Amino acid sequence: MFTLEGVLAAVIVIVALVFALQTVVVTPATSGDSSAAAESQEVDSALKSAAANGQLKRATLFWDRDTADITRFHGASEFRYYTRERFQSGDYPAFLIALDDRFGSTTSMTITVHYRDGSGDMTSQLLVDGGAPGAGAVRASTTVTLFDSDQIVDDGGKPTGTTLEDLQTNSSARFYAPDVSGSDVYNVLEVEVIVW
Amino acid sequence: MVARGPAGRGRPRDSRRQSRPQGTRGQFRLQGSRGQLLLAGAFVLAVGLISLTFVLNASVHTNTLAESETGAVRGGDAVTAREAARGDVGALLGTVNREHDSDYVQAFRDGLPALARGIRDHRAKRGRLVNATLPSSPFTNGTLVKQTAENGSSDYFAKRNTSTGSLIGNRTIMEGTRVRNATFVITNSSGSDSPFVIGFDPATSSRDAWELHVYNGSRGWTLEVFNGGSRVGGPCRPPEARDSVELNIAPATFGSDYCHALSQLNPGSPYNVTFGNGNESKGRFWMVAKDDITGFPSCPSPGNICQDDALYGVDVAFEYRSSTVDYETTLVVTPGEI
Repeated sequence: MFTLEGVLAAVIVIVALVFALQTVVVTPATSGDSSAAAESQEVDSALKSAAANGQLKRATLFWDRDTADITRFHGASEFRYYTRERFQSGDYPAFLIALDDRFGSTTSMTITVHYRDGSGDMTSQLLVDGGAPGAGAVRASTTVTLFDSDQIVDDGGKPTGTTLEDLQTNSSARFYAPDVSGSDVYNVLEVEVIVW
Repeated sequence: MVARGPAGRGRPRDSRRQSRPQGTRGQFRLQGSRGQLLLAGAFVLAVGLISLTFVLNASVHTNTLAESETGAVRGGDAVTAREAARGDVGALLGTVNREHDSDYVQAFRDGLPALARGIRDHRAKRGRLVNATLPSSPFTNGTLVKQTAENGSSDYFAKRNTSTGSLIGNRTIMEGTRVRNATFVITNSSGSDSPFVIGFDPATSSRDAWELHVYNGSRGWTLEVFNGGSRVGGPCRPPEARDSVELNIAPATFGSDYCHALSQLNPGSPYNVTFGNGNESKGRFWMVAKDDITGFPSCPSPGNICQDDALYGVDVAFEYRSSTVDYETTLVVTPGEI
């Protein structure tokens, strides 16, 4: 006798339940579970360690200016930056290999170098493009100061003898960040790492 | 007066017939109300569920925002910014010492505003004000003591007797001071029987002396650390054979590899720096002493120990401001100090 009302009531409740279940955000981070790809402190620690031992600076100077068509990071194919997710073997900056070792194969990362351009605006150069950050992404950043006397490094990480000042004065050579100061300071970079 | 019909004395004739339809309509009305109640209840339940969802989501979002700002609120971000600034200022100090023979103070004064602006621009993106400026009397003068090779060759760490020409292997390099950025490149050494010894002897305190023994033995380049005559930890060796080895004391690296025993080095302050068996080892070194050192010729003096004025350290006024944290301190920057 109340079939119609009963069915309608049941449909309303079921629709509300489905909506509620679909809408509630449940992620490892929100539940307090430690199974997130990486902890923020861990990424921060990796960045500080790399800054202290010089790996981070060498990664920012891992620049191949001799490529005929386009200047880019050593070994970067197609783009100026790396798009692969693993850096276990090959000629990559030691910083990337260390991050790969630290966070393992189940994580993705995007690394961006921010710097000031010739007009004084902030701009960016990707070092690693891992795509759009997923759920539970954590970020850390630190500054790296480049000086006129710093040398770009070869694909083995060794100084090439070519300083940033040389690159700046040689119109045929290009480095992604310009010299923005008349002093010994060349540019101040911010390296931002996002891991998820 | 109520008019009564012909049957006014009793119940109306059709009263039973009339009451039945009335009772059925009431029943229908009650039953219809139950159906509406069911629908209304379902609607209220649905609205409640959806409201709960919104409340829960808002809570999760608030928690996430709170967690992301926790570092800034607790001052973690201020400490991170301070240490990053310390590293950048230390790098500037090293650069002006290396690139400028005499005008290094002015070079530092010129470089710091550019450095501070770069740091300020990056932090400003996240709503933080970070600044680094020079206070009055910020510089601590020192002396760069080094032995650099000419044309890639290198010389003994020993002192040459000017009259006889013989080599004096054991010598004191500096007394009663403190050094930073001490780096050695050893290109030639005898075996473990006569290692090259770098000593740090406390000048005033009763602490035990520290010695670093470097030799090229049967297993390649080896570093052993001694404190008061007892070996500290195990020996350190680079992973592969090589012609020369670099010993960098402050970051505790030997042949670019971290050496745990070297990280234990703690001679206190002040101390004397000595060399032993320098007549059996060749190489280069450089370090910055905290005080004015005398006794060596001015640089350049290829193949011999020479000295130059240098900046030992600098004090920088550091300022950090966010919506929750105001922090000001003076950074004492002496990179690589032992």
